[in-house]
Amino acid sequence: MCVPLSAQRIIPDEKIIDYSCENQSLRDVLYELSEKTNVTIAWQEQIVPGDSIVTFSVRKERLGKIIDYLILDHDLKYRIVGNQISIIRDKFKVIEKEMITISGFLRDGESGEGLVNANIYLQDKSLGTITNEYGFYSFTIPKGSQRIYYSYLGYDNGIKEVTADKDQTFDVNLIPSNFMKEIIITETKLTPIPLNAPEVATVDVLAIDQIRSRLALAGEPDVMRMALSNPGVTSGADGFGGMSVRGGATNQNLILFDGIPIYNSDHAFGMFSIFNSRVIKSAKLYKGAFPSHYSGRLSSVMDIRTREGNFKKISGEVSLGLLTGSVALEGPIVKEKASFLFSARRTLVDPWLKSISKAYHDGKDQSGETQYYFYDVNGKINFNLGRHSKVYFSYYSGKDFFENQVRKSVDAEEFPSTDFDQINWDIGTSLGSLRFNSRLSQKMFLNATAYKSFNNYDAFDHDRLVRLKNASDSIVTFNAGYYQSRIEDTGLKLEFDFIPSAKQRLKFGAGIINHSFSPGLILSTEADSLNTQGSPVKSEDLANQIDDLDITGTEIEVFIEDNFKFGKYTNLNIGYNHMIVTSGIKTYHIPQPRVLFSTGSESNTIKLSAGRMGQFLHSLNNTGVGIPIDVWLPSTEKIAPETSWAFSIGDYFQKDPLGIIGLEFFYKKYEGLTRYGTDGLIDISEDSNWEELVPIGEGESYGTEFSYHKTKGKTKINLGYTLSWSNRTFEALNNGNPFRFRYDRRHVINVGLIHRFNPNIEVTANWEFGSGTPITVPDNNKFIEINEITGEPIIVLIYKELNNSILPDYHRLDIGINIHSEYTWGSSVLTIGLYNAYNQQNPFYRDTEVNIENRELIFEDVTLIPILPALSYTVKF
Amino acid sequence: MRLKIVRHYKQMRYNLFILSFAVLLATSCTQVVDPVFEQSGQDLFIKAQIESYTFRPEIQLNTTFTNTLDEVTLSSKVNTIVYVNDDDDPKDFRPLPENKSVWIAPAELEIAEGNDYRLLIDASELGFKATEASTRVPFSGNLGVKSLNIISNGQTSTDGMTRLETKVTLNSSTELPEYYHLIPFIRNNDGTRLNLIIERISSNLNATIDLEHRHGILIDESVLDDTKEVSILLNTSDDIDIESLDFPFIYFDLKTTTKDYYLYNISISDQVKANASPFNKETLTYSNFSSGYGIFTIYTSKLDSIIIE
Repeated sequence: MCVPLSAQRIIPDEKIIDYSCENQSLRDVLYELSEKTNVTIAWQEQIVPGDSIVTFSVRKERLGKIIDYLILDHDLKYRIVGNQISIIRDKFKVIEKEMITISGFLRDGESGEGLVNANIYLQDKSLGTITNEYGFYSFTIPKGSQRIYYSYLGYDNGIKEVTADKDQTFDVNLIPSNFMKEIIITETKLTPIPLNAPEVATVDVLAIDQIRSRLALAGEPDVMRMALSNPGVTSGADGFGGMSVRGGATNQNLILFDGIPIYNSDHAFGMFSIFNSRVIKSAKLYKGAFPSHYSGRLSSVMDIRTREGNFKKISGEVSLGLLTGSVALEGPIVKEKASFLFSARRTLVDPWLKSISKAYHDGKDQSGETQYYFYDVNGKINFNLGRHSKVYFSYYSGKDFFENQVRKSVDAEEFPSTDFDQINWDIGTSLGSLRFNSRLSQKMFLNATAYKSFNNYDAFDHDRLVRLKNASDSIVTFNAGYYQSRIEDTGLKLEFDFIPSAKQRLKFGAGIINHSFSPGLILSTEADSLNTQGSPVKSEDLANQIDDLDITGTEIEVFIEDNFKFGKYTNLNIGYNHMIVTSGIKTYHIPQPRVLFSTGSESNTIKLSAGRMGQFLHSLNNTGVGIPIDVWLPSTEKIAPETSWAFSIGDYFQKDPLGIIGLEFFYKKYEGLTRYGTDGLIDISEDSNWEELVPIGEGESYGTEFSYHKTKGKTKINLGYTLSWSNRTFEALNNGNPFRFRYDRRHVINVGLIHRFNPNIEVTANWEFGSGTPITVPDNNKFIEINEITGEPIIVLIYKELNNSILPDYHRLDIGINIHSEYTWGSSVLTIGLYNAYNQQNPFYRDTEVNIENRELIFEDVTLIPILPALSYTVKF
Repeated sequence: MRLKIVRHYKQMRYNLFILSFAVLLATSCTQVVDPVFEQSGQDLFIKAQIESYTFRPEIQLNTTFTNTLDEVTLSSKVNTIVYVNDDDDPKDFRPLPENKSVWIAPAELEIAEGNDYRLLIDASELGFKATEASTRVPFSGNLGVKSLNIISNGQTSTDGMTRLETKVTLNSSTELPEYYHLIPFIRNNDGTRLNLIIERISSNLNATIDLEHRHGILIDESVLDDTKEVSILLNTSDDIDIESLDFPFIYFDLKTTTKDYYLYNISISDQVKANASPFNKETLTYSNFSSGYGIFTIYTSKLDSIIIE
């Protein structure tokens, strides 16, 4: 049976034609073919290169075959849509194109600072890369004419037309957007979680520009407090006691300050951090398995980078708040070639505290005073060595000092007597580093860092009784104690970034840290030969008596990490870090494999991560509130390093203008954990068997985190909810039964809001909620023992298990207003607000006392921070 | 006039600032709370720390008390029996008529080194869970008093106290390390025992614990270093005049105890010391009874002495 011709359907690409062309552009050829065959050939202009020139001649050839030949060298394919031919991109086609590499630095056009994690991509977004921590980029693209985009939040996009037939180097400057000059808050694309980054929502890129908008304690913005507002991150009450990430201990966070590990990141026991927000350029928080170039801690990585200083002009900032004052100054030493950055911050309340404490004691017919202050100083000098290299010198010094002295008459003694009681703490950190960056080639970058750091905690306690027998003769008795915990680190690290193509980034390197620990404890009474009858003992008198016990340990790491990009949305980061630690004659090897994977689409990303972490250093923390009298010690022959495994899976959805919604699940398992088990302070000396007294245990934590971020528009919202569990098991504690970990807070909610009314006024509100902290309280039951020394009855409280109760839930609201003003010479910000606006009495700890007379147990919750005004005024020039 | 007002205003502003700050500090406050307790009910409390070879040793039986319930006086409805080496002939303790909290062993009960004892208390008729504990009597350890130095003499020292530094060594008489309770004392001329104050321990700090509620120190031999030596600074207190003693000796009462004795006394001592402050370690109350609280342990005692010269 014949089918009438009119009824036959001709498939467009089956048409047979003769065609020839010479040195014509691909697009023109496609137009001509379409006209010749009367078949519509459709394509998007950006996917068909305009500069592709073709020459060929065919006879009686199928149209489809001709098109296949034309697009052979391009990642394109065609398909039939009705009676049309549509040319589209072929994601899976691998084209062996000739590639070239462009590289250079991306900088802030006004200050010359390198821009971290800035985006560089082709117009069609088929290829892209990001800058590293120093603003360096290497971008391998197809040869020929290309339009390259450079973008970074808060800056106008940069566009560069490149017609390159060989590798090139050029640095790009981006200008802060005009909008940014008028207001402080960035307008768009503030993505706290980089959806396309290979690290799982492990990476919370803290919005440093928002740090000034959020109301802070006493008006002092703080990066650690900002980190605490992220899901999965908690602390003790009111920020005291350090940072716990996903149920980990506070000593398991690797806090890096320009690559240097920090042991104590707190001032005032956690009320503030040691990081002056004025010098911070970026801060990343890794909560789950972190990339292989990080190691040394189990729980998290907080990578804080400081600014380099303005290469082009002098600028500065002066800030006064209720509790602290701060100055910062930066500028060029040699314009465009060398710069400096300096900042200093100090408490201002010492004179008032002294006066108030003096008045208090005067009112009680005794004399005394309390003194507290902290300060920190940051300094940095940078030198550009030609176009390709840079040298940095950095210095930091900070200290917390507390002292309390009381002198009073004692009536109960046989002779007129005076009791003098003194206690002081001195907690400090100093560090210096020398860093060298160099662009070794178009695709290779080197960062080398050498540093030295000193950390100390010294405590002195002195109780002295002077009994006056007569005018010239007195009896002096005293008890004095001096405790020190000191750590000195010397480190060197080499890191190479090798970027062979836009779809692969390789990072490898090695590092070595030598730790030297000097713990010490000395007690003294008048029976010792200090000969201090005439004057009170000083802390130096005892400090000089301590036999310096030098415990050393060395950590060596070698790592390699490879990141592959498949298509637009799939990343795979595989890495391995091998840690070798030595202490005495013992050497430990800790293999640390890491895998991070993400995939999805433009609006949705699924991420998974798994990894093993090792920690050579142990921290014995005795207190219930985590104040820094931790003793840091290395692993020894008898105490192995701690290890953990971390797993997480998350899904993130982004839709403008709605924002980003994320849900993530995590699980962590810990082994080889240590803590104090018996009496508070262990004598750690050469002859003591202190290792026998340290219990070893294990732990686990798991949970889920929900987050929502709205980053566009006049109102920005951050919302986080965490549901988690964390427990520990030590054979020597709690009868070997598992118990809730101190930071096992079942529910944690954070809600943050910033609203901008106009370029000059913004209001902020933050509300935090956390389930109560686990504590150990005695049972209702008691029994009587007798103190054989005094003959008095002892009411013995019965503690059945560790962390058997919880403090009341914690919640707090902070509200504030920021008023910005612009002047010809600079700008200012006035911040007024209330911290703990509704004066919630959140317990800091629970005190248990026994009323001997009534034989009753009395519980008292002690609260610390009531409603507090926040006030600060900052001037920038 | 204007100058006076300005000065007054400045002073007032200063005072106001001080007052505001003081108010802020003062608003950091305490609040008595009344947490909800699990109704665990009262339990038996037994204190039975017995010296070996004691004739008719006594133990204390009592109950715990709560904020609302007093101790319960135990009566004849309680059976208190002890098994020796798991024999089939348990011995009964009886309450003293004049003090029902104190129970006395029968005359035929012999407490000897190396024996196992199991104490069982059944007060179920009074509504308490039956409870029991076991112990083995350790063999006496060996004490060596290596030296005794007079650091200061009460007659001439500035505070009227005599200080003596002594070094002792301890060794178990079996292969296994032991736990000890060492109490130094002197005897007054009327024969009464005066325990000396432990002012300071200078070596093996991790192996020794100065008790808050009892005289002397506890020692864990397994943590002692290879020297097995403990240096102690003793204080006589100003009630004692060494020079006038008829028998100028320092006596050392060495009790070889069990781990239960050691842990129980540490937990009580820690409670006295800690007073439940958050800056001290969390101490679980130790008990070796299967339910209820208390301690059942038997120790051996040995005396040694050194003359004060």
